[in-house]
Amino acid sequence: MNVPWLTVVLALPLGASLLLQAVPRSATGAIKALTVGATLVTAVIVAVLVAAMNGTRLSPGPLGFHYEEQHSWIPAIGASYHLGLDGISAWILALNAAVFLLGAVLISRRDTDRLKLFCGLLLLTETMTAGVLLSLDLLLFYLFWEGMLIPLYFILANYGNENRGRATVKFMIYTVAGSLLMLVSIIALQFAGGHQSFDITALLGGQMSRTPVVIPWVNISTFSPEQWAFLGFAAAFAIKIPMVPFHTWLPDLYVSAPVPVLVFFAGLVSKLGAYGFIRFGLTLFPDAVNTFKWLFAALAVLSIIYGALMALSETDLKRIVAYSSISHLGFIALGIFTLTTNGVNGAVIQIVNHGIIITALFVIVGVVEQRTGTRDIRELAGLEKRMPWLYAFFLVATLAGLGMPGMNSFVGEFSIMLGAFQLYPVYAVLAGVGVVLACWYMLRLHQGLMHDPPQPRTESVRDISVRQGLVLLPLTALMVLLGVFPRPIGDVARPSVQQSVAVANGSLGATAVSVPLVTSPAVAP
Amino acid sequence: MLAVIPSLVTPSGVDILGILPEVILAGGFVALLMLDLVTSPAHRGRLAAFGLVAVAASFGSTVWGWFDASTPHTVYSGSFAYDRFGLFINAIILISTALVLMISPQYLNRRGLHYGEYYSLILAAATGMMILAGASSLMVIFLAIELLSIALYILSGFSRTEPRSHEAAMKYLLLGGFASGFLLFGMALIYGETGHTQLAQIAAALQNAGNSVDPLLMAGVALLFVGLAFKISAAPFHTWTPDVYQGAPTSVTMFMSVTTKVAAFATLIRVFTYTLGETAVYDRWKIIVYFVAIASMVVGNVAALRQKSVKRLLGYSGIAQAGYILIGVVVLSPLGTIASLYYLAAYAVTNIGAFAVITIMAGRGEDMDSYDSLRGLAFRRPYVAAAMSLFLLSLGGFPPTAGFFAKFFVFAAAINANQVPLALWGIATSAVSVFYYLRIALLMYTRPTAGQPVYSWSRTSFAGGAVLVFTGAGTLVLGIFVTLVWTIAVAAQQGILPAGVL
Amino acid sequence: MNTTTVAVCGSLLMLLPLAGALVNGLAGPRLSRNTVNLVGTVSIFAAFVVACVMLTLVVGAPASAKSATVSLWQWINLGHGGLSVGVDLTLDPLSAVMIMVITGVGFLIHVYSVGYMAEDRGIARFFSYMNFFIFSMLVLVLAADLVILIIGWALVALSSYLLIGFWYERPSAVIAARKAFITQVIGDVALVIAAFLIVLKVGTLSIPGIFASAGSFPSSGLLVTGICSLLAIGAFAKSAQFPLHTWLPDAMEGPTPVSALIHAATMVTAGVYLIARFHPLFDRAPVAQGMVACVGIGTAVMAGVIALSQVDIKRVIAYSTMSQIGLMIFAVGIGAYSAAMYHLAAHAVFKALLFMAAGNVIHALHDEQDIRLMGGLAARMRRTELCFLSGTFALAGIPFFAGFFSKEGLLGFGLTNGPGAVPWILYIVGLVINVLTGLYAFRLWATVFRGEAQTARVYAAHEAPPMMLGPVTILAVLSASLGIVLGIWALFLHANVLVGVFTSFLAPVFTTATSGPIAVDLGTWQAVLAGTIGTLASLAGAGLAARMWLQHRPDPSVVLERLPRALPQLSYNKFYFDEIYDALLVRPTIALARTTRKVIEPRVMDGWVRAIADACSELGGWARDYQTGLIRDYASYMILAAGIFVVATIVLVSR
Repeated sequence: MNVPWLTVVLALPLGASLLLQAVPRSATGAIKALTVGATLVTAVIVAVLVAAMNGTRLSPGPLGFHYEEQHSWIPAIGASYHLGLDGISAWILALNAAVFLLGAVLISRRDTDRLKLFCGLLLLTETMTAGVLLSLDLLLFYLFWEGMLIPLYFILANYGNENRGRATVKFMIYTVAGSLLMLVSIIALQFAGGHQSFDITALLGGQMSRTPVVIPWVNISTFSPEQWAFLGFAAAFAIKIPMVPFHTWLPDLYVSAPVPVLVFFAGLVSKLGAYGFIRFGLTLFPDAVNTFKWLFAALAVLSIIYGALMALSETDLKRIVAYSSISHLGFIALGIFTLTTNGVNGAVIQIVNHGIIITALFVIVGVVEQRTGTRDIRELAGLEKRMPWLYAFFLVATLAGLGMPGMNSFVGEFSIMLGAFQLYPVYAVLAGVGVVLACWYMLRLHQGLMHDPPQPRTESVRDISVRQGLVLLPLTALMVLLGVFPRPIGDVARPSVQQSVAVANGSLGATAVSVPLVTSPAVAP
Repeated sequence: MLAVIPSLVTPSGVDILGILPEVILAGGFVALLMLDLVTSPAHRGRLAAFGLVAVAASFGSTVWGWFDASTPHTVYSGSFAYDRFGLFINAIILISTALVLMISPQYLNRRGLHYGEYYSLILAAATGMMILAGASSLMVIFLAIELLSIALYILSGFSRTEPRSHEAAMKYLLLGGFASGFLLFGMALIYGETGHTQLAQIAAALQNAGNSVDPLLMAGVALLFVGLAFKISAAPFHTWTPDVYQGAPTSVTMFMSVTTKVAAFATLIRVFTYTLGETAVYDRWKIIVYFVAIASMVVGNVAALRQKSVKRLLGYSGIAQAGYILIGVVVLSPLGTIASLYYLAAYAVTNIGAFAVITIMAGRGEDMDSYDSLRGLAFRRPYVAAAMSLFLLSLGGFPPTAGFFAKFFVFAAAINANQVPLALWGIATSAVSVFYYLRIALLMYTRPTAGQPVYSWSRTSFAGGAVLVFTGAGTLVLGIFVTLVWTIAVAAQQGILPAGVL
Repeated sequence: MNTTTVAVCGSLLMLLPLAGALVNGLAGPRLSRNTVNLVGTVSIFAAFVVACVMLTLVVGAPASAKSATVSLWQWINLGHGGLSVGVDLTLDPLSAVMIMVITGVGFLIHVYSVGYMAEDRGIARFFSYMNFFIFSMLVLVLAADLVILIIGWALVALSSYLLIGFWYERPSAVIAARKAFITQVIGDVALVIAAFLIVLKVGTLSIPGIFASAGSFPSSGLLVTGICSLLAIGAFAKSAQFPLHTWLPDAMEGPTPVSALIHAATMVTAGVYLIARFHPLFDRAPVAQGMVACVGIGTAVMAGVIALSQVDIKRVIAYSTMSQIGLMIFAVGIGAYSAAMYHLAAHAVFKALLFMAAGNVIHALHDEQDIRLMGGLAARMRRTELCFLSGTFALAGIPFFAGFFSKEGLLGFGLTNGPGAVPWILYIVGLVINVLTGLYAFRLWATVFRGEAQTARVYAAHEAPPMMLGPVTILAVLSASLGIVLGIWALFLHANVLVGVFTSFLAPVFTTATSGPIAVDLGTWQAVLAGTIGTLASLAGAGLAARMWLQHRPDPSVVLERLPRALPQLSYNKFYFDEIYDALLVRPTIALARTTRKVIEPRVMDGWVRAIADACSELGGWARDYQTGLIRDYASYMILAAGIFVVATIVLVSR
């Protein structure tokens, strides 16, 4: 098939957003239909691509890709339009398509102010995030990575509660500072590569000098260029994830943003940092990654515990969910920096799982706020009596959120912690503490809303609407399905993860494995 | 035919072809003065049209020159460079001038200062700038600077009824004269040391001088730099910029904020990178320029944080941009020059666009100056607001806009020359700049609440719309199809005179 | 055994309760009460039938092939060097016993619930939770892979959580549910880490695989000891053993059938099952075994003492459960696996019986659970009292009742095995436990059914409906006959037969057990003596209880006037464990969380960001202040800067 499907995935939402400009502002029905339609078609295409992946062959080289497209862009400086899809990006791309579809579905025609603007920006964001996941050229990647902020900025700045302005500006400056550091690293990397190229396949395996940089005059020797460059990338990704202590932009933003935005913002955008670490951090800076893994794994553990503690003491529903998200993303980061097949695989799996869980949680919180008019957990109680369906969905989401064995997140967290245990048993144990705390705050949230005798605010509330149910049903179903039958994600991600881990551990060989799991030969049952 | 006329004019062959664009524009300037006398006030718009014709003609000859000057050489006994570098700068200046001419009539009418001199003065200034772009002798440089400056002094005071405009003109005049003094003194010292006024010969002299550098020469270099730094409004010689930008009529601000910087940078590159780039000398002026670049980035960006006037804000942003462009000068590498050229082009198209919005939206009798006047623009003028946001994002350096690649190349040049600290200063200040650019962008998209003054924006004229479309498209093209301008800039760098240092 | 048959039966066994749970859970509100009851009970009965079939499969299988492991599907496979887990089932005598207990007792309790919950509006929810619990428990016992076992392990905790908090408008129930769940999660984490240690050593998590390579663990090595200790912690959490025992009494907030099914018969005994299942590892870790044994017997004594002074009828039984499971844990700790399993089965019968009988009482008194307000119920609830008595006899280990042989069995085992004086010490402790058991068991019976009525409500009480009485009666007969029949048989044929039958059945599983003979030989004179003395101890306790409570009813807190005041206080306040944990764990965590939110987040984490922002805006302020607008200032800046530049360059030159 010579249809450039990846380009199609990129172009479709963009084209739709342009087409949207032709629609009169008053025709809300058409606008909504167009948006949902575009996201739906994109989702279908992505689904087909991912489903057909195991049939396709990996392209040769230390990093293989199932689908690849390359065209010349700025030959003068060796930047090209190079897209690729592999096992790592595949499921995240699917998640991308899914969350934007859900976001589009959740937009309310009546209550959304300037619907056209909103839909256009939403579609634009989808193109950008998809570009981040697909581009294999560092400059192209940066283009999407930074360009993503533009539609996001206008969405976040225009929709949400009254103090969205401050939160958004904080987020922007925070992320821009991080990305600019990455930009410097990208440039340095390109020059260091010798051959003028921004292509990841050309820059693999750490080609920068590993001799320490000496500050002139004072003669203090510091990290090596490769390590500095890695830190530049790490700044961008750690802020985006976010890892403690770079997280303070997140809670305010999550509180101010409306639910349809949160669905794709919390559901996907925060995962892009983790994806960046896997795609570029591991493969471009093996030496630096191995030097700093203990540090970033420690930050990850810190995020786990810290987020859990905050979630335990907050009283605002959205803040609780926001901090729980920080804690969960800590697990993902921990998995990545174990540099083991288990850890990284677990991270990929968990990226998808957490996307599902956080989306559902925010939808639920949104429903509660909409029905009861408050987000203060102290004013809420006894909703189970009035909203049995919400209770059922919320129960599943809660269990998935606290890493219940048998739910999807258990799969990811188990292999992440196993990977961590292979390298830092202590970190794994601390993560275990995080699991217990997670159980605590999730139950506090769930029971606080659902149980005890109803409060005045919750005396007479309606159960969820059909539309909300239609959004929650697939999400919760996935939580259970991926918990009982998690294999698909693992199978798709496995080859690519093994290659990346192999590169990260210094071998550019195709399927070498970092830390052998088995120290004594496995005995077949 | 062209071959005939010059032989009548000058003894030395076809030198006049080397200054044909400047000559055409100068002719246009004189013709406009005449035409103004015979044009009734009702039809002054035609003067703009005529000006456009002159600019177009000059542009045509510039393009022709681009192909003609495939082998760069100097004309008029080495005092003027006929190279693609100068023509590249010419092109930028001419396009900017054209855009200014296009939106001026509407604005001047509305502000009630529609006088014919305006157009002739604009052309005069543009002529001076183009001469400056090609000047390859200290004398010509000084003359050109004076020509463009005097025209600009008058223009900035053009709104006769406004005290603020007067103040602007006065400040600009006095401080400008001051700067010219430094400039001239510096030139004198350099001449005294090298015995030459022509750049090529100065460069040669320095090469022969080898590693020994005379203090007075360096003093001359420093003073020369001070004079030019004033023109590009780099810190700490920027202080006039916000006041003048705010006081002058917006269309004038729009004009000078772009073209002056472009022309001054052209000669800065020509003189410092390619004439004084000799290692021994470079090692010394490098430090000054290094400092000025960082100072401009810092001062421009942090001062912009606390502004309330859009024009002042763009003034400070211009100071910061000067700092970024200086990076391309200080690294002393072909890549640096190319980066600076690309930055100038991007800056021109973006800044013209941003000012164009202010100019077009300006209401009767008042400038659209305060932040409040932008509040809620998106609800009444969605496309104008979208364009403005695009320009602001470009100034902030967001991809996929011109501003991103401008900054990208400049930083790349710095890193390539192992000047990573410069790049780090650059990104730190850019991160700061995001704050104020986005704040304006946000203002346009926030509904005015009760009690806030609702500003009455003018309708967009056809010419204004055309300007916005052009600049907007340009901002995107330079941000996506980079190769187009990049290749031209490379050619410009390769053809620059005096050659040899790099 | 035919693997396909096992696979089909196993899947069927688990699917039936799951189906029941789904039907009642999703369609429940639309179904009629009878349909709900039918779905809830029939699904379990069908499962029971399947379980019987599977039992016959095991019994019928040749001794060499008593165990079959079948794989349903690949759960996850992270490739070479990665995690690989399959959803596998294993059927062997051990799991056969468990599924029989689970489905059998489970079915009776479901039937009982139909009557007990007759007035409750959430009946559908109740049955769906109950069925789901049966499903989870079956997953737990059938799992042939440690990860799957952990999943079942957590799912039972989940259903326990749901059922404890079933009456969600009762704050105490909500808190109790959360407490139980969090305690369980602590256990889960321990299991998970144990799994890590195992998989990193032997490379597989499949239980048969682990055992096959158990030899690769150096005996009594650090690794195997650590693994077993972690497994034991998981077991303690599940089986409410010290120090993770505090959740069980609170769990009595759930409906009584729940207490009978989950917190007496099945779930809480999962810990015993786990250790028995992993005996190949434990046999190699004597230290861990000793720890387990000590914890078990210690918990047994502690719980017995606490049970003496509790006033809530269900809590008394709960503590007795804790004590009995302590005995089982002790048994597996000393390697008496089959004895422990036998006690587990017997205990499931008579403890479920006790709970359901107590349920009858509570039901009759309209949710009154304070024994100080009961008494004299025998007159009005004759059959319930008889059933209760049968359970009490069995609990106290009165000869020829279910508990007798099991308890004497493992005490005798303790006596006949073990180094030096240890057996005797253990035996003495065992006697103490017997006395305590007799004491609290009969105290409960006496205060509830005997003496004169304490409240008017008692006079209004009437016998429970047949729907509730039926299952109780069946269990009562079972707990009596099980002992009597086999006991008489034992006397006349061979003393060893009772535990012997059971032992020989389980033998294939425990072949690798290294610590002494499995069978408890009751034929030896020491064993007979031991049994006799043990019985006498129990009877002494019973007699003391009768003497103390049949006539007058002392305040429970002063139950033992002759002892120093402290002991009754300790007993009445459950040794203050809740308070201690609250002070040591809960409060510090919450305090830490609060400081994080109030201080660290705003001051530190956000502080450095805000500091930078403020600095920039401050600089901006300065820059603006220097923008005076005065030409002379501007000019002086220029001169200053130009001067500096000139000087700088000149200095550089002369350098």
